[in-house]
Amino acid sequence: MQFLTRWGPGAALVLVALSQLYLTRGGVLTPSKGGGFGMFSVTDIRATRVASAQAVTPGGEACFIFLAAAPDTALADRLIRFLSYPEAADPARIVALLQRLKFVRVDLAELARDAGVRRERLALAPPEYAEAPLYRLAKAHEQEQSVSLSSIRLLLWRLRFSGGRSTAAGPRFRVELLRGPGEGGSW
Amino acid sequence: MIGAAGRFAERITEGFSRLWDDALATPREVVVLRLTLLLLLFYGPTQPLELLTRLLAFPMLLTRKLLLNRWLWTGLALACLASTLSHWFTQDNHKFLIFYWTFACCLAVWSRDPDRALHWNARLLIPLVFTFAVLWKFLGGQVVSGEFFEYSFLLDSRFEALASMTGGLDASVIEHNRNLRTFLKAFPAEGLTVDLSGNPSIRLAAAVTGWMMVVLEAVLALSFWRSFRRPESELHDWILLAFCLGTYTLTPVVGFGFVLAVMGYAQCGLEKRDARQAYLWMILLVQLAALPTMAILARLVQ
Repeated sequence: MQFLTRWGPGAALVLVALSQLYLTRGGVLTPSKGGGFGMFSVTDIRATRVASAQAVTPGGEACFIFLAAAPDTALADRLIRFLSYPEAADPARIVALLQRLKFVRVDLAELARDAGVRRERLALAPPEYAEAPLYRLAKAHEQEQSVSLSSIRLLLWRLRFSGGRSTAAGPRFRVELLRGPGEGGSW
Repeated sequence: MIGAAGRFAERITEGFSRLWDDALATPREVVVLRLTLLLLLFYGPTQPLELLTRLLAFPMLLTRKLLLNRWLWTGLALACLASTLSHWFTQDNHKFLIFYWTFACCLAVWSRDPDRALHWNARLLIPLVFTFAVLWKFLGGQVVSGEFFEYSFLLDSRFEALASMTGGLDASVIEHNRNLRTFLKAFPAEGLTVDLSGNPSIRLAAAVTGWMMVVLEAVLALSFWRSFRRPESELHDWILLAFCLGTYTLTPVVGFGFVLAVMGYAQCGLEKRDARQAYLWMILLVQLAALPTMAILARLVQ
């Protein structure tokens, strides 16, 4: 058997897996992706990561952008990549895509409804979300009341899970900032 | 009525028995390559290369001449490579394995002895996969501490049946925890913390499940590495089959179970008739993962 036939696929697997081990140092690449066979091993997965954005309204107010359900496929693909490994997704490009889109202002209750969050949880929302304007991506029929946001800052968060044995209170999530910001416009 | 059902079941079993007899009599590399083509048709590259893959793979299934065509296999391997490169950080790990296996099939048809090439590569790739999987179980730390399965039992509906049986959790608790996770993702802020619902039984079950998984994967890896010295042994085959049955019939990662079963068949000695038949059955059984098996189990348990 020739050398490539005998060792090629195995060598490819080992090289990719070792490179994935290297890229997960620092906790930015989620271990469940990248070809290292780290799935079903850690709770740092796409389901426990979220991208959010802050922006400046045309009136000069700091606001939050809710990024779920991106209507633009290119944006959705980049956001998925951003969740797994932000460096590979080019955050500046995501910000540039967001700057080309339109947004509508919503209130806390509507945002929670869109996100599938129960009303009673709103009391737990950090005060900055109650105080600052909230925006989401405009749908096709909402273009008239929508605005563009030119100064945007992209953030990547991780929900760190702690099991019941490691905390006195029982199992919990704690939010931590994993990567940020990727910025566009003037801040 | 019971007699008719029994006769019907007997006919089905006889039919499968004849089918497996035919398959086992067919040269191993032909069966393996055909199964790989089926794998690529259903679980191969995603768009935009999905169409190209299907256009190549489908005619190859129909004739033996095309089945062994070197250029068509090269095309498939390149399609898998291109798909992997473009989805490197987002695709699941089994897509990488499907690429390595398709690459191995491509090299095999270019070689003088395709069956030997497929046999060798399957025997090497399987323990490599599980060696890295075990390594991550320890590097990550959360499986051996029980945290990974505690998270899975508390939030992942695929584990609802297990969570219910071991910790008395029901769907409403999982839904409650998932809603808290949704809340945090909608309103993230540094240091924001929420407490989830759980109990000590879940923590114990999670720790036990975690260690069982580590031990099973480690034994699987070691048994395959050992098989290089003891090729006549069947131990590694039955461990792999048990792993596939336990894991991929319940969790919806059909592609992973499928490719492992194909590779298992490729490396299985020609004299091991029962194990080879079992691998063919496994390819059918893992399709059960596409059904809501865990949800059905959960309802039965409750």
